[in-house]
Amino acid sequence: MMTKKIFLFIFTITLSTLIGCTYSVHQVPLSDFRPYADAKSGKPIEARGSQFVVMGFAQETSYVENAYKQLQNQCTDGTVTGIAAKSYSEHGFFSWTNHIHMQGLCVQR
Amino acid sequence: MKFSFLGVLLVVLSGCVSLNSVSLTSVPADRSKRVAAASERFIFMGFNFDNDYVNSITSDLKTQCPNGTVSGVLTKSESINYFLFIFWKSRVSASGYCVPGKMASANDIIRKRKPTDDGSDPAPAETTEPAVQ
Repeated sequence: MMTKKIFLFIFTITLSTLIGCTYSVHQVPLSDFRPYADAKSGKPIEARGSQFVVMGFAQETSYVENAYKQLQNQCTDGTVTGIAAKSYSEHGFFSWTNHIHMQGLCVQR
Repeated sequence: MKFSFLGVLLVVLSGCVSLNSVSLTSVPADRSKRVAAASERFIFMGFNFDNDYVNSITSDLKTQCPNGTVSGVLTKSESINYFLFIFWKSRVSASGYCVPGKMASANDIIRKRKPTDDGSDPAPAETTEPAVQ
């Protein structure tokens, strides 16, 4: 009986360590739509970046720049407009993952 | 003893970065000239009497692009927390692209609008907008 309880305890701790049980959205900034163009004429593109943080120890936030570069690489000869960048965190046990999800419209010249 | 001292020193001096906010604007097609600016302030126990250090970023970007438009600006606001959150550093950084030429102003766009027969608000006219192309 005792062994079962210990197993259940370890299982719960392991599960909560490995998976995010809560999410929080920090902000969703939206850029302007420029140049004026029909929304249907643009190609929707998206990029993601993330960073795993244990107990707040993080030395940089370059995952944002990486996502931004990734977005630009999908639209090499056009304008990326109407960019929505959702910044959110996925919480785990004494750890969390910061995410950024950028969505935009690639409008060709 | 030496190792423990080094360990403490490392903990005190290394900062943990957290991202406060991100903002961005439309990315231009012409990304040949990159511009960047950053500003930071060291804050002890929360004593901070103004946020003027942020103002220099705009002028820095303007200086790097005197005859063009800065577009595709990615702005990050970060906090670098040092030992036990007693002191920390606030950093704001912005990077974008300098596109030669002037951007069409809102007035230019309105002037280009053609009035409709029934007096209703016309749809925006197509603009070339050379700065962001």
